[in-house]
Amino acid sequence: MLSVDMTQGPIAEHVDYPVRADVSACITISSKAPACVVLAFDADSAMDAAERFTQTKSPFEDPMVGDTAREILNILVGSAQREISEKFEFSLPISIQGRNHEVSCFRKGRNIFCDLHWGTGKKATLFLNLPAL
Amino acid sequence: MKILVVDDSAMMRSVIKSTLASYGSGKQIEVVEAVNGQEALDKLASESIDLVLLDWQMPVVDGLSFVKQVRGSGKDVPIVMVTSVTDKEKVLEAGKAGVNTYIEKPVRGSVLWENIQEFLH
Repeated sequence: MLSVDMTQGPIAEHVDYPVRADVSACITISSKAPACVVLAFDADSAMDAAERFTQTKSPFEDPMVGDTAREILNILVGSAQREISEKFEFSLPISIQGRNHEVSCFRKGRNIFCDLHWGTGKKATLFLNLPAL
Repeated sequence: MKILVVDDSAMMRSVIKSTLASYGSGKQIEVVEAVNGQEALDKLASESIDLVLLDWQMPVVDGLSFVKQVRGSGKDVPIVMVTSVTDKEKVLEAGKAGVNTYIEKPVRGSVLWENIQEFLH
């Protein structure tokens, strides 16, 4: 309740473009050069995560599904803040719900990503997009 | 007892509301919701609130600004921050501003309930 216990997969750097998702959430990071963190879900996984939080089944169109994606990303970024010494300012998270939408902030710079798994076959992909050096 | 739940996430408000309903079934708890600090200030001005459960990162007026305004106006309503902000300096800042208890997300229902016990009377 109030959380989803996730297992982290390996960290990788190769991203196949275009990155597509059914639900995505994004937080931008203000530093010398802006970066962003994105959490991308397929529809089934996003709805499952929302159900685990709210204990209620929500259809894909329910704003609760996007809200859950935002909240999970917020928690992930909040936890990361504790581990890093440098101070960054983070934007409020935004979410996009739309089947097979393109997550377009990855075209430039360097991308690091990993899958986060829970339940049976459910996953979200966490991307960190860093500015090109 | 009237609890004001302030969070811009409808999902979090819903989850906190059902946690309070579930754990506080023996108590008469009424939940009032606000989607940001400004709406919470308005609710606090117009209703008798016994406890505030407050997110930090919200549009319009954020959680910390809300706390400063509430304490600046002399109100001593207990404020429990439930947030994903974990930076130590910010946690200290919230304490100095007048937050009574600070809970980091993700939070289990039992932990939330345990942490608000001292304010339920």
